[in-house]
Amino acid sequence: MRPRTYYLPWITRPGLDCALVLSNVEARFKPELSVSPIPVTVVQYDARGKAARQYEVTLVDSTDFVEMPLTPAAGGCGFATVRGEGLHSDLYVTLSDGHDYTATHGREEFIEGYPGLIRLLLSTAGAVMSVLGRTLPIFTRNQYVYLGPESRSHVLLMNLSNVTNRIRAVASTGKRRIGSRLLRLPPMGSHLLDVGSLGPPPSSSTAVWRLKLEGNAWFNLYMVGAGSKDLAGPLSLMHVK
Amino acid sequence: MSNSLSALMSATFYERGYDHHIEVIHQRDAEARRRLESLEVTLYDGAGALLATPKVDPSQDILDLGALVADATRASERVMVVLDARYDEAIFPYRPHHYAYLHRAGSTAPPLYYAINAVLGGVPDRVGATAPPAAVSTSLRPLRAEPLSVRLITLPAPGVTGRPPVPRSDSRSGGSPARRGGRRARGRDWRGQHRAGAVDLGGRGAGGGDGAGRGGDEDEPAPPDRPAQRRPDLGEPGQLPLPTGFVPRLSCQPRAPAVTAERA
Repeated sequence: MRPRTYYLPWITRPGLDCALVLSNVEARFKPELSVSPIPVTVVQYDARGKAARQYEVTLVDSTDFVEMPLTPAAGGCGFATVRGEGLHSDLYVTLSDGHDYTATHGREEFIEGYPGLIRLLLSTAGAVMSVLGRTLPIFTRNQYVYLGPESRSHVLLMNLSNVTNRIRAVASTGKRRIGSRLLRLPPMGSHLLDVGSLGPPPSSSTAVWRLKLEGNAWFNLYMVGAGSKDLAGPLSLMHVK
Repeated sequence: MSNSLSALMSATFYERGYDHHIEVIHQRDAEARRRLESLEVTLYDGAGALLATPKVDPSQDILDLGALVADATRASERVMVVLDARYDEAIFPYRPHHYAYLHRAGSTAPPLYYAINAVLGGVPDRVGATAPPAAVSTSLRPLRAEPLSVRLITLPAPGVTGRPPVPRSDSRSGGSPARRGGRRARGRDWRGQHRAGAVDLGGRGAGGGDGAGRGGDEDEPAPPDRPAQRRPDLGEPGQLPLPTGFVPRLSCQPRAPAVTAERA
C-alpha cells in the first residue's frame, strides 16, 4: 500500500523555532477549489516514529495562510504529515532563531505500508544483514554532502514506511572510501545523520563527499545546513529532488 | 541513447567571499551512469557583458565557482554564471537539476543548499496554469547589505492575473515569514481567525492518532496584528517585486514545457 501523503521535515533545538506555513495558494488558479474553507490536519511524528502531536487548523480560502509553530518532541527531529481535502499547494517549513529564518517546502509522496508477512521477512533478513554491518539495499539514494571548517551539510533521514528501516550510509570521495554507518530507524522514525561522524573533517577548505544511502524500505531525506556552531547554532533545511 | 537531447538551463551568481559549489549532476551515482552529454558555462559581468566561457568537463562532480571564476576572469564584482547542459532523458529517471551549496566565509549563518535551475519543473502542471512562468530570476544581494541570501523572483505568465506567489529564502529578513507581517492574507490577524488546536497524542504509534481531544490545548492568542512591514524593494501590493541594486538578470520567455535539441 502506498497512500499518498504530504509531509514536511521538522527540527527543533534550543533557540531554534520550527514552524509550518500552511496555505492553499496554488488553488487560486482553480477558482472552483478555492471557495470553501479547508480543514487541515497535521500529525507530527517524532524521531522514534511516534505520533507526538496532532494539530487542527482551517484555511478560510485560497489566499489564507497559517503559521503553525511545532512543539519540540522526542529526538528533536522528524516529519509531519498534512491532510486536507482540496489542499493543492506546496507547504513550507521554516527554521528561525528569532532573527533570521530559512525555509523549504514539503513533498507529496507516499508512506509505504508493507503487509504482515513482508514485515516479518524484512525484519528477519534485516537483522541478519545488520550483523554484517549491511542492509537489504532495496532503495538507494545518492547525495553530495559538504564539510568545511565553518559549515557543513547534515542529512535528515526519514523512514517513510511501517517497517524498521536499516539504512546504510557510505561516504566516499573519488574512489576513496571514507566511512560508513548503519542506522536503524523505527517505522515512521527519523535520524539526523551527522556527516562528521562518517570520517575526519577537512582542516581547511570545504570538502565534498559522495554519500550513498541504502535502505530496506522506502525512505527519503532533507539536507540540513549548519554553520560554525554546527548543530548547536542556526540551521537551514532544504528539500532535495 | 535516444536521438534527441533535452536541455537543462540554469543560472546563478558568484561573489567573492562565498563558498559556492555547484553539483553538475544532482544525485549522481557512484558509477556515473547519469551523466550530461555536454555542459557549457558562460560568465557575465554586472552590465551583461560576456566575461568568459571556461571549458568544463561535464563528467566532473562539482564546480567550485570560486576557482572557476578566479581562473577565467579578473572580475572582482558579482558574476552571473549560466549553465547550458544537454542530457539524454533515457539515462535519467527524473529531470536532472543542478543543486548548489552556498556559505559566506566568516559567517555564523548556516549554509544554503538550493536548486539553481532557472525554470520551474512540475508546478505549472499541478496548479493548472496555461504557461510556465514568464521569468525567473535568482540573485545574490550585495554582500554588505544582505549577506548570504538567495532571492527568487517569479513573474506571472501572460494572461495570469493577480499577484504571483513569491517563494523566497531570505536569511536576513528577520524572523519567520508571518511574524514579519508582510505575507498576511488581507492584512488580518489570522490567529484570531483560526486558533489552531494542538493535541498531544501521548506517544501513540505511527498512525495511531484518532483525533481525540481535538480543539483542546489551544495556542495562546497572538498579540494584536502589527502593521505590515514591507521591504522597500518589494513595491506595493499588486505590483511585481523589483530588486534594487541588482544588475545581472536572467529572463526566460514562455516556452513549450519540453525543450529538446536535435542532435547533429
